Amino acid sequence: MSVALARRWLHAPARALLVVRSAFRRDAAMKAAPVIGMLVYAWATSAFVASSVDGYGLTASMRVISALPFVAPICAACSAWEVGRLRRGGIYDTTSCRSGLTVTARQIAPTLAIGVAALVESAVIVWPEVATGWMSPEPAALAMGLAVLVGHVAFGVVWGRVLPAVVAVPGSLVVSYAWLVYPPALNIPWIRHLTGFNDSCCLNIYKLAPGAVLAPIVLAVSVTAAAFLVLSVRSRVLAFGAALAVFASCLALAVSLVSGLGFDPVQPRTGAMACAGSFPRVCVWPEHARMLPEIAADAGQIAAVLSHYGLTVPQQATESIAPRPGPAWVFGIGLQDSPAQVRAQVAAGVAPSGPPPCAQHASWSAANSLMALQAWLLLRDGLSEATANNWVIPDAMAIVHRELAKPAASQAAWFRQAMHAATTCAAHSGPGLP
Amino acid sequence: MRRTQRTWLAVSGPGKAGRWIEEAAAISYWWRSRCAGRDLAAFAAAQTSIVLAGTVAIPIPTLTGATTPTPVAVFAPLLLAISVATGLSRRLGMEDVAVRRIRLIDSTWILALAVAGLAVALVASGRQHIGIIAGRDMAGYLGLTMIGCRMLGNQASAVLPVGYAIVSAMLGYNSGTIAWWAWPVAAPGDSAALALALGTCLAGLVTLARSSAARAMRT
Amino acid sequence: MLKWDNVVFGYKKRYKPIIENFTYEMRAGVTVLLGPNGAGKSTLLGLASSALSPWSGRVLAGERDASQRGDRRAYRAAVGWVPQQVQVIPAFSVREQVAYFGWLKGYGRHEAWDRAGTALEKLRLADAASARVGRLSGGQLRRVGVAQALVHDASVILMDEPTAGLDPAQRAGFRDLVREVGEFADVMISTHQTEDLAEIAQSVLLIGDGSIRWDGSLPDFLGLADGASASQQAEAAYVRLLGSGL
Repeated sequence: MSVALARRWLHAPARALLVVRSAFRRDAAMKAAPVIGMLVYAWATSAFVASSVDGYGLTASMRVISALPFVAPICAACSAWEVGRLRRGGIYDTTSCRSGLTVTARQIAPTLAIGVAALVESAVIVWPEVATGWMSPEPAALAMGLAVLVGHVAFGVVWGRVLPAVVAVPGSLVVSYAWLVYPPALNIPWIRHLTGFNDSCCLNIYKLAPGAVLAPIVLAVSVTAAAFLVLSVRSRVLAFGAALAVFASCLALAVSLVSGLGFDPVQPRTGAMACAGSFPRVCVWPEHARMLPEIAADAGQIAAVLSHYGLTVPQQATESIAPRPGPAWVFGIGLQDSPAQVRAQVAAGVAPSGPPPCAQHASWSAANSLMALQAWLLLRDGLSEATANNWVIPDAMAIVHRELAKPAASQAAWFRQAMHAATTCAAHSGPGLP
Repeated sequence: MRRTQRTWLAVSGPGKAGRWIEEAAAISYWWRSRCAGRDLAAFAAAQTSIVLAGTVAIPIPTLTGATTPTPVAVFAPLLLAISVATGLSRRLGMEDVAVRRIRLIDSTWILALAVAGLAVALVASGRQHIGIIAGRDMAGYLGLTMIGCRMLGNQASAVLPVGYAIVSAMLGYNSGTIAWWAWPVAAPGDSAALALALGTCLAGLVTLARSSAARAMRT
Repeated sequence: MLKWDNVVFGYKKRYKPIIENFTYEMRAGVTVLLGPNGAGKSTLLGLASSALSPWSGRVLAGERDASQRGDRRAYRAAVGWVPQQVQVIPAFSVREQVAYFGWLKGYGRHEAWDRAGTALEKLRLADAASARVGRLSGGQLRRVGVAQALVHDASVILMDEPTAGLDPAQRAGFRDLVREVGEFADVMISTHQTEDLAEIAQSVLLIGDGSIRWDGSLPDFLGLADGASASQQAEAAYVRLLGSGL
């Protein structure tokens, strides 16, 4: 029955059904769409993905694109299948008016559309689950996810053009999937950052390093360029030579972008903060802005305690870990924290949160001093013994109790010595110090 | 007459033994039509990667959010499945009207690969539990390939074993237990998984014996 | 002698059968099978070759029933088939391709090889025997398909559009070959070329929508219409029986 005849006799809904049925029969991606949809739904509603992101848009955006291992490999296989169909039909060898590139782009457009729709599905499900109030998505992360999807589809195109479908389809499925899931498990950081897949990024004190965003995009562009060359250049040798050269250059560039990063593709978060107060000036991330009055009051209270003991009060109390001159007062809070937890975090933030950088390469024996400092701050701020006991080990509590029995001047001297020990790697001795 | 033919005549000669030798040599037509040498190469490559990888595991993100380490031995046999799928895709529609039992030859070859896979994996891997996983999965994937030829056609036949392996790794783990259907990732001592994999292989052999080469070419 | 006995067949069970209650016994010699596109010509030949199995009814070559497991091998040895699409294994040479088919039909390696050579000589493809079969032109490929049907001692040979893609000289040579083959086997040729019909056929079977529209000898068929030549008469008779189809 011709389409014209069908149009004459069918009503609009039935006509729409006919279009969908035709698309379903014609496109491999349409057949795979229900599978992709179910996998993305199951992933996006899992306990891991739905867990709190503390109002941080970057974390939520990375959760959205963490569905890539369930989307990109299937899209790669579908595009390999579609290109294989064109190849079997002799389309690339005919004298058509449209170029092979145009015909291929048209053929894989549904595959790309289904892939994008799957990421949109992930966003639609994940965002309401994790959002607490207004959260801005991170455009760089989403752009990276989209680029990775396009790269995988282009990868499928190359395989489908070069190999018979019986090898290209399962091969592109396996290789695409292995590329996304295996490198993150390797102990070679730069390979991990090339894939664009990271389901544990990021704490709200970090942001994605620019190189970690660019590297997967550069690789995706190189694979897309390779597909372009394979489809456009007649000479097989020339096409592959050029494609390989482009890919190798882009790979070298991508590796150089991520080679300096650690195991996580992050750097300290910078950007506008919500601030209040003057002694100290308290600054929090925008997603914690509604907690600012409470935090400012807590910070003012502990500043008064420090002043009472004649100790230096840092000018700014902040959530940001970005380096700054002068003594640091860095605290970490979450939207789910209780008021007591927030107060404890703010108070303990006057002391360092961990060993100094030099302790990675040298011996450092001031761990107890550091914990004792934190416990002293908690107790002086009026928090309970139970809270302090949950914070530090008993040895450190013993030091604190010993110091609390001494006069204020003695406590202040101990405080200064312990702060010095906690921020350097030199050997120390003295009361309460190992 | 070609030199190879004269040689064969000299070797085979008249008589029953000669006819048996000639018949055995004639299988070279089938061997070349299926490119069965590539199957042997894929078999060797799979076994080599299993031996070299040993207990190395690929962390597969599951739908619960956790990652589960899955041995390479689960995925390496897919090489052979893809090679066999490629060989089956070279079947001709005219073989449907053959006098010789060409489907029986195909089935026998694939069965031999499955049995050899189990035997070699057990012996050569040096780690029996990896060998059992590899041999079991090799048999099961070959069965899925043959079923895929019937269900999906020649060109898409290998999608079934590959897809099943990945889906088993993604969805098969649930709170520390493995689903009954996820035999590719089951523990080596799981006799139900072994039975299911071997049953799949048997179902594939039966399906192949009853399938039409011409119909499989329609995708 | 080949016979379709009350055959019913369709490609999908949920649709109407393409062939319904079809009964016909092939005559000796060369029979030309005519019909419009989609009439069921290839389906009938596919059933006769045993590539397809009827939903009901039987296809017999003598006493051998294609659907009976015990008769199948003997049936297939007796029936040769040239399908509409000739499928080959690109890596084979022409002679290897034909010999492979001889091996499939039960011959030993050497005998299949020798028979392949003979078949290729009959079709004037001996010069191309060592060429890669994947590099042949459409017409050459069709002749390879015919060679595959001749490689074994079939008593019935079925050819689906065997002259498609052949040039006039090749078609003339093919018609000579069919006349020669028709002396020792029953041949059924499906074709659209009415000039083939006039030159080689002894019988004509005309089908439409899976059923017989006309069946008889060639002189009776030609007598249905007027024409300056046998070819024109055949064409006019066809149009008269089935209409122009436009």
